[in-house]
Parts: sequence; structure tokens; C-alpha cells
Amino acid sequence: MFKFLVFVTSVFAAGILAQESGTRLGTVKRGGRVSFEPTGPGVLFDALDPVIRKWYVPQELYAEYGWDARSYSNYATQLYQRYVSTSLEGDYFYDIYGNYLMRGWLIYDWRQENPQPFGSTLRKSGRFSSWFSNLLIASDHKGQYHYAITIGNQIRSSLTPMTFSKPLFDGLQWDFMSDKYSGTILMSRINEPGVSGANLSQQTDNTNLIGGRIEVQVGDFVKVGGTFVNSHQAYTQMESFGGDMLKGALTGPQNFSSVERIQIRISDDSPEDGDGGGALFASDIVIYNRDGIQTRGSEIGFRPLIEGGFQRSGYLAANGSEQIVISYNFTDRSYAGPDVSDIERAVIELVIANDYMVEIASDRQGTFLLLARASGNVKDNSNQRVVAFDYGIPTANQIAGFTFEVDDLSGFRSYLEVNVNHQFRQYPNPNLIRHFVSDSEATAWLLNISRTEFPYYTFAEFFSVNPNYATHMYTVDRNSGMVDFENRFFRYEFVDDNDDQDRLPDWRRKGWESGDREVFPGWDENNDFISDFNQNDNEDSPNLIPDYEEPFLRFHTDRPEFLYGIDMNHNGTIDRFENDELADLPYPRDLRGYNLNSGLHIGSNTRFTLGRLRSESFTSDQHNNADYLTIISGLVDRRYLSLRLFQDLRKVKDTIPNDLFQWIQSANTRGSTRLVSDLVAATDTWINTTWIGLELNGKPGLRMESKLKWQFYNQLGDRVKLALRGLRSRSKFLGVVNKIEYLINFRKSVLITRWKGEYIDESPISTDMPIRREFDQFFSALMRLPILRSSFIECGVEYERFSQLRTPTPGGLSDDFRGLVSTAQLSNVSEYQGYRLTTTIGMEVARRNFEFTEVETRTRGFVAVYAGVE
Amino acid sequence: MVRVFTIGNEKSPWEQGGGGIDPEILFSGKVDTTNTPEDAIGFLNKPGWIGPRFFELKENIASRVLLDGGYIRSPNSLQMSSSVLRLQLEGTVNGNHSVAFERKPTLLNPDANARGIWLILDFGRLVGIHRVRFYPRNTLVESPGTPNQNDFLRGYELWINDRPTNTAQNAPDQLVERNEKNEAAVVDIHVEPQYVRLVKVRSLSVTPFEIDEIEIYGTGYLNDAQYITDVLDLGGPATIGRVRWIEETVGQPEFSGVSVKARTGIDDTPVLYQRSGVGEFGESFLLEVSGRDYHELDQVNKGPIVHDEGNWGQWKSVEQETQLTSPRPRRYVQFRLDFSGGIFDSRQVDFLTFDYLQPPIADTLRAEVYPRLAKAEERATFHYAVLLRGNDVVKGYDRLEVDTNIRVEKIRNVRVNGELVDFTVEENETNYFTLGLPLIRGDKDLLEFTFDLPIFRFGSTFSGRAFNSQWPSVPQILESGNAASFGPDDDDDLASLAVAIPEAQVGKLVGRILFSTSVLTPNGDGVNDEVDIFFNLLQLTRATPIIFEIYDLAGRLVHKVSEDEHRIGPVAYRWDGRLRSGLLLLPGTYIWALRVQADAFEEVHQGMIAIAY
Repeated sequence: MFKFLVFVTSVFAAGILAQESGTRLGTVKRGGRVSFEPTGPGVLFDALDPVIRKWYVPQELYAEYGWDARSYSNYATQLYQRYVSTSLEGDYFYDIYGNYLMRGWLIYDWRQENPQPFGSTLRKSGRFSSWFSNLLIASDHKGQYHYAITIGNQIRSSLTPMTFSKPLFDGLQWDFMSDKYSGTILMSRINEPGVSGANLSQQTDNTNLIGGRIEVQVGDFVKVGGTFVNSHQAYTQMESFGGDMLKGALTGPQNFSSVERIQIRISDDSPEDGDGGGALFASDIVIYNRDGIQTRGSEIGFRPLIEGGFQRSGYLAANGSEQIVISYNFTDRSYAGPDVSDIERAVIELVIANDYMVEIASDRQGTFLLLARASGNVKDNSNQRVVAFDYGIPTANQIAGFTFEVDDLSGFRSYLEVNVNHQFRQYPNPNLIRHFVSDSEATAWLLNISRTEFPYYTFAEFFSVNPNYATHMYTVDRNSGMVDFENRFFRYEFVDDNDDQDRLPDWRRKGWESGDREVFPGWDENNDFISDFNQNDNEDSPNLIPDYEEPFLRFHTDRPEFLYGIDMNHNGTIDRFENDELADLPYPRDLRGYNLNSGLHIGSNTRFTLGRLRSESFTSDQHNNADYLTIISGLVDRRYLSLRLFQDLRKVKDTIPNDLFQWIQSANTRGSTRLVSDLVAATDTWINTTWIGLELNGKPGLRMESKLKWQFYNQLGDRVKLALRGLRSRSKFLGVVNKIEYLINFRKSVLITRWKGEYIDESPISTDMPIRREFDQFFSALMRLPILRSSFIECGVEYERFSQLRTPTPGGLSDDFRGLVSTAQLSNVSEYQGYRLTTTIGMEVARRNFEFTEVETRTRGFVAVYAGVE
Repeated sequence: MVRVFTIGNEKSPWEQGGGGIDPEILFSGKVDTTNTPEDAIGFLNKPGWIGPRFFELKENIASRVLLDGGYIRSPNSLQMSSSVLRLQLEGTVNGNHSVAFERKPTLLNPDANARGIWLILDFGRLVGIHRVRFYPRNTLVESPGTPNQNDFLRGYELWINDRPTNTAQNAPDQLVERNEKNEAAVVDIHVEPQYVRLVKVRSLSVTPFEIDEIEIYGTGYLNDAQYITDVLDLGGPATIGRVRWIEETVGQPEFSGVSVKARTGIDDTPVLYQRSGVGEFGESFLLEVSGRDYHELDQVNKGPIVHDEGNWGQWKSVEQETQLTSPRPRRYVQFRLDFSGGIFDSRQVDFLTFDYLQPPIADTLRAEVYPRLAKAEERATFHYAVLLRGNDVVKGYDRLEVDTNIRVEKIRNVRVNGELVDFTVEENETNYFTLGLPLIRGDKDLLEFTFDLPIFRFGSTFSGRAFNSQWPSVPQILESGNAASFGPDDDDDLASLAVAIPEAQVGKLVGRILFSTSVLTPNGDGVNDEVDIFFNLLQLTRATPIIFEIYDLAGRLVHKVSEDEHRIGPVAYRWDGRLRSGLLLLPGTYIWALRVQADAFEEVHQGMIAIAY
């Protein structure tokens, strides 16, 4: 801000100086106004003297200084004054009409000029970050009409969750809003959006993004919207309107030479079953030359080289890990079709069946890219079909869609969103100006409807997200001009993965290469970006013990196992705590189905819900079906007594794995995200989850709290199959936590006594995990004594008694032990040099007395000084 | 005569690669000549067998980091020359107790720090481990010349990872043990048996230290391993018969596997060495040279080494007890065994064996069928031709087996070189037929015959095998291609053994459905007392549930005539108008429904049928 004021002041001052400089700066117009409008040099009538001698004073200053044909500098009386550098006060800037804009500094400049090499230029000056902190906003409004142009490196931009949603958008966002209409335009050169202070970035091959959304309010209840997002490769040596800009262009290196080899790979889309993989019956290629003349490979004896596959009667099978690779080599001697330099289009035809996955590559592309997948896990050839597709290199990805929203129309609320995704590809050939464009289409839609008429309510959600629905674009490497389709650092996401809903995308992608190291959705209810299960951890003072295991802190913090929530994907993790590595679409890709539920309120605190979930995968026979009953009740809600009940009973048939990356704090670590595989433990299962919480605040200083969580899985499937998968037919978790705290004030001293009992009886789902039955108790007393004016002495003792209730103790679990932790701490709060210093000095002695092994003693002494202003 | 080649017996032990020419395998442009890439195959665990290498509990495997793909490094050991550092690091894993990795101040390096120093061992692949031990010199092994037994790590962390460390990609290191106040000169840490790729030790103390050896004790099997046989020279072109091997499972069979692949060639190396050069007019060229000559070339003249596609086929998967689908008899053959499994689940192979016939039945047996397009369900006449190419020494064939998907009819016009010959139909099953023929062994001998059958599936392939009845165990697979000219419409380039159906017919599972009558009169008069239903099941490759039901006009299910599984081909039902209880259905009009419950969808056909007494 200070710098901005300096800038404004200097510009203003410069203007005043210009006014006082006569004609020496700018051109004085009528009224004394100094103008810098570009007019070109004119005829100086004052300096039309026919002389040969050189002028030693600029002729345009003739009126002021006359004709001085000598040059002798003497500064005895007129002291020397240095030249004023124009860069001290900025440059002169003009618009495309030649209108003088201002004298100042170029902060942001993005241009694309075609056709010419290095036609895409983008510059963010150092002042973009140093003066404006990477954010520029131009805005205007009148009456109900408002608009703003926002240019920034890290703009939170969202059109709809299915099309474009990024916590950190680097580009330009232009928003408009009026009473009935609103709209947004997004633009960015996503492969190189510019770094503040870096040199001018000039590129011939680049990747651009344009997007937008408009919304129109129709009547009082309906809002209609349209969304468009397009990202395409651009090649500035080509004329912009030489083709369809939105379908993109091949980059220079991609189109450097003709395609000489096309490879198609067929594999098993469900390799885990080792059977019924892709079946190839026949293949052919159809080649079109520039005149549109068609040549069929089989008719000219152009046969592919086919590698891999098990020979079956009439076809080749790619079962399990087996792959069939079909290579069409245009340099092969058997090829007698059009010269490769004359090929405009190549269509591959495959007669395939069963559970296939088809990918394609070429010598111009390198990497195999997915082209088609079978629907379901077919093994009997009943889906045999002719699949024909054009070969091309991806040049653009586009999503267009609409939304229809109804708000409180006769009690109904609904939201419909339909999007169509087009992925464009082009066939490379350097001899062509216009390339043949092919595309594939995928749709995604959702419909949510709800209605409440007290005490009844109902909700329905229908959804379908095609597995090929793509919300990403691989961007051009600015150094090579090529596109690396395997490098995630070149993959730009329209919809980011940001499960913890903070400002950092969770994954590492183009535009955000560093990722988010700390992702623990739902575990930061106090919004301090620190896990609530390790609240006393920070960078300066790492804490390696989770709070539910740390002496004294564990009284207030219970283990994550005691949390309750809804788990609709039945992977064993409560949905709101899940972290995955997928784009945050409202519904996962490759899934379609519905979820209906309805219920009623009983009183103001109790709610019964009955529901049905049916969803299935497009590409396999996996499904997630459930019928469920939930009860949420605040049975008693008084000032001194609170009793809450959550109940969820469901019958589940879920075969869809939903692996996660969860935040796990292993021993002696601050925690990190780890792969948590879904055991797919509810293929035919009854699941019950009951949670009861009781809080009692009766007598002053006395507080009691109890929690009970009971969850069981009762498997209905075949016992042998379960055993082979390492699953127990009955598994359960029964946990009970009881806590009592009593606080006694004695003059200025405080004595706190606590007891906590934690009982766990668990038969884990996986047979790899031992059955647990344990009872852990903690008794603690804390004494806080004030001394002098701002010091305290705090003493604490915590006694732990751990009882292993299983005999013998299973491997990996702890035997009985007794533990004692004693601490003493002096705390001082002082004002010092404008800061408030908090100083702690103390020590801790901890002993653990195991039943069978030696006593463990641990000591800790510490002196720490913290400075703050609060 | 038929010979048997066995790899893995005493004559051709696994350790010697089968006793052929050393393999030449192309990896990233370089040629490897080992039978056991990455030293991942174990021979000792069970003598005479091979499988992924197994590590005994007492086996120190730390030195495996010095193999290709692995490394040992200390990235933050600065102020040391890289050669000295490499020497010291290798000294910690190669069993040399005179060399240790040292972090101590010296005259040359007075500022050598000790705290925070990483020692990273990367095996480059997964290995099972259960114990890590490290110590300074003069501890486990006496070395009075270097009495540094007190220079042990005073504080350390031990980390492991089964992938390259990448915290953001959810591959963070796992801490196994941290000890900030170590007092033991020999640190011995137990690790839960598991696969790791990285083992990392970090110093937590400022006290100078040295590590004489870091020992990592392995356990279990490697998770994958590859064995490549030598290039086996059969002495001349040979027809290769069924391949079989003895395989044993360790642990759970679901978690391990072995896949066998094979390739054949006509010269002794599947690798093509090339010399690059510049011609008279400045054009560049590549010239094939032998491997020996290639290695003697100047670097600038060494062209790319590539797979010899002209003389060698690609690796093709082989199933147990099946024949190699080699295009024609070849002299050289090579096998590859790919093992996969878990730490305690694995596979082992005793021996691999195959029969071969030498000289072969023919140098080539090219066959084709004509026409190559036929309407589904309609009976068509097909002409079949087999052209033998070979010199005098080929054995020829007197039996031909051809695959079909329905029993063929009217095999006729069996000719050799245009002359009708006697023949016998030895077998005519639903999936193949066999012809007995006079011995055909002359070069360019052309066998032709004709048969009838309907086609039910796109890509019906009349693949076949030729036998010589003297050696029936080694047939020769027919090669698809141009064998004869069947007329002006027979394009040589399109010749093959596959028959297609029109694209419009692809996708249907049921052909025309025929009823013997539309009015059933089950009154015992012998006329229309029963109805026969006939249809062809198309396209399917497996038995599929088919239901034929009767509904009343209100849509209520009245009777299930049949509920059974059927394969591709004709299906026939007969119904006498009775319910399961034996009662006759009341007179009236009913709806029949035929349901084919295929994996991809259920195809339903419906129609009306009337019952009158």
C-alpha cells in the first residue's frame, strides 16, 4: 500500500513538473494542457533557417533557446543539472487507437499474435508481486450493474463443481453481475501463466484456457445457467482462424514429421480376475489421403504386426496381465498405400469383445492414451462389436453444459447440471495446413431434488459420470514444445483435488507443483490448519505424540475410532474425513446411480431416515447398493445434561473399492498421508453403527462425559471366499469412554482431578489384525498455584493403568503395564520490548512398569520462551 | 523323428540357461546376456528348481544395492571427494572390514559434521527384510589397526520405504526406530518382515562416528523375477509341439503366478547390430554386422541395436500343454519365465519341456478359406486350401484337423494338386473335424476340399493343424495366408482362415426363431399336439443362461418351458402345452418370451402363441 501511495504521488508530481516545463515535455495544447498523444514529428516553422552548420540545441527548443550554433558548457553560475531519466517516473503508454493512456509502469501484459513465431507473449513485471502482491483488480459499477476484472496468481475460481473449480487459478477472471444476470469469463495461458519479475515469456507453442458461465434468474424461483470451459494447444505460426481455435492445434514439434507407426494396445480392463479380457477378432486400417481417397489396409495387403495375446478359437485373448499390441508400420515393405506425407486421416477398425481396454500410441506421441473401455465385465463375447476410431494427438478438451436450479417452489428445491465433454484430436502431417479433427464425447450429469413439509422430508440424487469425462488438459512443455502425457506436472486440472477445502490443492499438478503436505479433512474443526488430534504440534516445536496418547492431553482427546459419521461408500472411513487423489467432482467418475431417502422429524430433536442407494460402474460389474435406516436424536438437551444418539443400520452390497490417502500419525512422526486400501468388506453385509454420547454438568466444577460406539459387520457371503480374502465373517468395534473431571478452587489455587476409562473390544474386519480387548484408565491431578504477580507453578501427576484383557497377549499388542507421569512447571508471563513473553521451565519424569519386561523411565527437562503480542 | 527338449534337468540345467547360445536381451538400447536379470532367480532354495530368489534369515543382502538399479549414497556428506565417499560407502556393504564410512574431523576436513548425515541404501527393487545391523570397526570383527569401537552412532533413526521417497505422492518414509541416546556399539534392529526398496539411516548425534558395515538381513521371496533361457538351437527347422512344465506353489496360490513366453527365430541372435555410415553421396545408412564386429567398431560407427524383427518373432505367451503359435518351423527357440508373488507366496518351476519334430512336417503350410464373408445362420459352402512348401526332407502330413464352431456337413471334392483323392472323415465334432488323407509332402502340393456349414459369429476361424500319423504328438499349425486362387473375387491380399459376417449382423445373440406351429392343439390327435421351437444362438463364446417362458395376456408368468445354459449354435425346445404340474394350459392366447441372459445385456424376444383343444 505504501508503495502504491508513493507511485501515485510520484505520478501526480510528474504531472505537475510537466506543466511547469513548457514545451520541453509533451505538447502544450489549448488551455495549457500538456499532451503526450502520438502525432509524429511535424514541421518546425521556427527553425527553418537555411544553414549548414550543425545545431547544438534541439531545434524543437528553438522558441525557448534560439539558435545556438556553439557548444560551450560553463556551469559556474548555472549549476549543472543531470538529465532526468524517463525510467524514474515510468514510460508512456498508448492504446491500440493511439490514445495516450498514462505515464507509468507496465504491470501485466498478455498478447497473442498470429501468425508469427513466439507469438504468445506474457509478462508480469516485478511490481506485479512487489507492489500488488500478485493481484490486480479493475472494477466499475453503476446502479445494479457491476463488473470486475481480476488478474492474479492464486484466485479462488469456480464455475460449477463439475466443470471448473480451482483453489488457485492463475489467470484473468472477468465477472459481471446485475439483478437478473451474472456472468464470468476466465482466461489463462495455462502452460506458462507467467512469473512476476521473470523475463518476458515468448512462446510459439502454448496451451490456453478460456471459460465462462452465465446465469439468468427466471422469475422468482428458477435460475438457468450455462457453462463453458475450453483448453487447447495453440501454435502461433498458424493463422488463428486457419482452423477452429477451440479445437486446438498441433504444436510445432508434434507436427514436425509424418506419422510412421500407429500402435494399438488391447488389455484386460479387469485384470484381477485373469479371465474374459479383451478379445480381438479382427483389425483393419482405413487411410485417407489429402484428396479424400480411401484405402483399406486389408485390401492392399497391409497387415499389422500383432504381438501378445492367447490364441483362442477365432480370436486373440488378452486375459489378466496379457496385452495385445497391434502395430501398423507405414515404413513396412508391405505398405503400398498413400505416401505418409499425403495421409490426412487414419481410421482403425477393431472387432473386439469382452472386457477390453483399448489404448493408442504413435511415433509422434510415444505414450499410450486410453481410447475405449468395455462396459461391464463381459466374458461371453455378447458385446462383440466393431470399434472404429481416428488416430490423432489430443489438441483440446472442452466442456459445455447447463444448470437448472429451482429454489423453494412449492417446497421443492432442485439442481440439475448436465455437461458434455469433447476431447479433440488431430492427425499430424507437416504438409497439411488444416488437420483432420476427430473427437470423443463423454457426459456427466446430476440431479438433486429435495422437499420438506414438516415433519416429513425427502431427498433424491441421481447422477451419472462417464469414465471418459475428462476435466484436465496436458500442457505444452515450453522448452520442447512437446506434450508429455505421462507427466502429472504438465497436467492442468479444471477441477482440483482439495478434500480439506483449504486454499491449496492436495495434489501436485501443473500450476501447483508442491502439493499439500497436510491433508486431514474434518480434523481441523477449529480452523487453525493443525490436526485436532495433534493440536500442540507446529513447525518450530514438533510434537510426535498424538494428543489421545499424550499424558494430560489425552483426557480431552479421544481416539479417531470413536468418531461417528456417515460412510456411504462403505470403505470403513467416515465420508467427511476422506482424502483421495481424485478431482473433487460431486460424484466419482465411472459411476451412475441414485440415492433416495425420506423420513420424518419426531419432535424437534429426533429424525428418522429411510433410504436406498443404488450405484454401479460403467466399465465393470462393480456396484454399491445399500438400504439404510438412520436415527439422529438429541434425546435430552438440557443445560446440565445432554444425551445424543446416532444410529445407522444398513444392508450393503458394495464391490467398489474406494482407496484413500489418510492422515496417519505413526509412532514418532508428526503424521503424513498414507495409502489406506479399501478392503471391500461389505460385499453382502449387514452393518450397524450406534453412537451414544452423554454429558453431565451438574455440580459446579464437576463434569462427566461418556461415549459409546458400537459397530458390527455381519457378513452374509460365502465363508470360504471371505477367508480367502482375509476377512472375518463377523467383526465389531465396541468402544466406551468415560470421563470425570472435578475442579476445586481454593483461594487463588486450582486443583483439578480427573479420571478417564477407555474400553475397547474390537474384532477387526481384516484377519491380519489381532482381536483387541483392552481397558486403559488414567487418573490425574493438576495443581495450579499462582506466585507473585504473573507467575504460576503447576504440578501434575498422571497414573495410567493398562489392562490387557486377552490371554495370551496377541502379537503386536501391549501387555499389562502401570505408568506414572509426574511434571512440574513454572510459567511466567512478562511484558518485554513490546512483546508479551511467556516463559516455561519444567521437568517431566515418566515411568512405565510392564508386567513382563523391564521398567522404562523417561525424563524431560525444558526451558522455553514464547513471544507474542496478545 | 520326435525329440524332447527339457530345460531344468541334469543335461540342461537351469543354471546353464538350457545349454544353448547365451541370451541377448535388449534393455533400453543395451544388450544383456544373463539368464537371470537383476540376479533375481534362486537356484539353491530347491535344487533343480527355479523361482524368485529366496533369502534366508541369516543372509546379509546389503551388497545387492551395488547391483544395477541400486545404489548407496550419503547426499549430505559434504566436504568429501566423491571418489573417497563412494569408496567408503561401498565399503560398508561389501564385507570389507578395513574400509568404513567415516564422519570425523580430519586435517583435510576439519569441519566434517556428523549430525543429520543420511546413509541411503536403494535396492532398486523390492526385497524382503527383517533385520538391520550396523557397527563401527573393531567390534564384531577384530581389527586392532583401527580400534574405533567407540565411534559408533550415538543417536540414529532407521527409516524404510517400499517406493522412492515422495511425501507428496503418498510414499513417505516409515520410521522404524529412533534412538537419540544410543549406547550400543552394535546396533541391531528388528524390522517386521516386509518388502522395502529403501533403507535409510540418519545420524542424530553431533559425535563423530563411523560405520564399518551396515548389514541388512533378507527374508522371503522376491516379488518378481525373470528367467530367460539361452537361445536353444534345435539343429535345424523343427515343428515344436506342446510345451509343458512342472510348477509348484509356495503359500497361497492366489498371490503368486508364473507366465511362460516363447519366441522363435531363424538365426542365432534376436538382436540386430548395426553399423552406421555415410554413403558416397552423403546419405546415411545402417548395415547389419555381427555382435563381435559391432563391439570392435568405433563409437561413431556404432548404430542402434534393435530387435531383429525380420528373423525373430515377438514374445508370445504360452499356456500349459499348448503348442507354440510359431508361424513356421524354425531352428532357434527361446523361453522366458516371469514370476510374480509375495514375500511368502511364490511359484517354483522344476523343468520345462517340449516335443519337436525334425525335419518338420513342412517348411510352411499356408491355408485359406473362401468365401470370407457369409450371412449369419445361412448354410454356406466353403472352400479350403492348404499349400505345402518344403524341400525333400520334410515329413509331410496325412491328417488334417480343422476348427469349427458347429459340426460341418458334406465334406467333398478333396483334391491334391487338382486330382480327387480318397479321404476319410475321422472325426466330426461340434468344434472340429479331422480328415484322413494320403501322405502329402511334395513342395507346392495343394490340398483343396469343400464343406458346408452355417456361420454364427463374426470372426469364425477355421484354424487347423496338420499331422503325420507316424508322429501324431507334434502337429504343425496352419499358417493363415494365400494358398490358392478361388476365382476372380478371391483377392490374394485378403486371404485368411477367418470368415466374417456382415457388420449389420454383429451384436445379435439370437437369429430367426422358428415355431412348428402358431396354434398348439394338445388334444392327442397327433396334429400340433406339441410345438417345436428352433433358433440359433449367435456370437457367444461361452454357455449362457437362456429362458423360454409363457405369460398370459395380463403379463403373469404362467410357465417356464426351459431354463438352461446353451452354447453358440442351434437350440431346439419342444412344449406340449402342459404346466409343470402336468395340467394342460387353458385354451387361449399367450405370450412367449425368450430371454438370453448374456453378460453384456439381456436379449429378449417375444411373440404370441395360441392354445386350442
